[in-house]
Amino acid sequence: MSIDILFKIAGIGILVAVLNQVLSKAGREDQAMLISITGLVIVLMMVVKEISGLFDTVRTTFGL
Amino acid sequence: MDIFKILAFTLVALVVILIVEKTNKEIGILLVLVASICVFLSVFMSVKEIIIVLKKLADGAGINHAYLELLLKVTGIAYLVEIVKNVCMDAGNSTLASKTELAGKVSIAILAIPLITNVVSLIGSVI
Repeated sequence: MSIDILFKIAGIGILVAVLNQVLSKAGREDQAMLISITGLVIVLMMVVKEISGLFDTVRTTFGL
Repeated sequence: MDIFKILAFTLVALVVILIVEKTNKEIGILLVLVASICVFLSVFMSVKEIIIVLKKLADGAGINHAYLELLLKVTGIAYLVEIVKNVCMDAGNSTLASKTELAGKVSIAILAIPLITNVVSLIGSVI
């Protein structure tokens, strides 16, 4: 029951959103796009780790 | 893991997801996936005890071990397909959801084929 990972991902999401706003207001749309992509990649890395944990648990328990 | 902690976790996750989903949807959907995985894993420890009890009952009743293994495999597949399907439905993509469901059904059908042949041969021998 790791709620901290939930808050970590939410933090990254909100940070990316804020940075997006700041950069787009400053007139640098391309960097805003890059920031959102990198934020998404970071979150994806964390989610992949959780998914692999899920699959390993289910595989060992159910003998898949 | 008592039920109250899980319920509190789900409500907090729901609020967090709503906040994040307002600005960027992708991370919101990933959060939905992570939250469902956390809830599933926390309940999963008690599922293991249920499986152990089932195995004892099956041995006691003299049921063939292979059938129980098959049953557990099918349940595992059904669990995973259910999670992925619901996340796809949440994202509003019902096409992907139905395709994952189709894949789950096909893989379960493949697993059940030896069982079906056994039953048919059993019936054939009886008649």
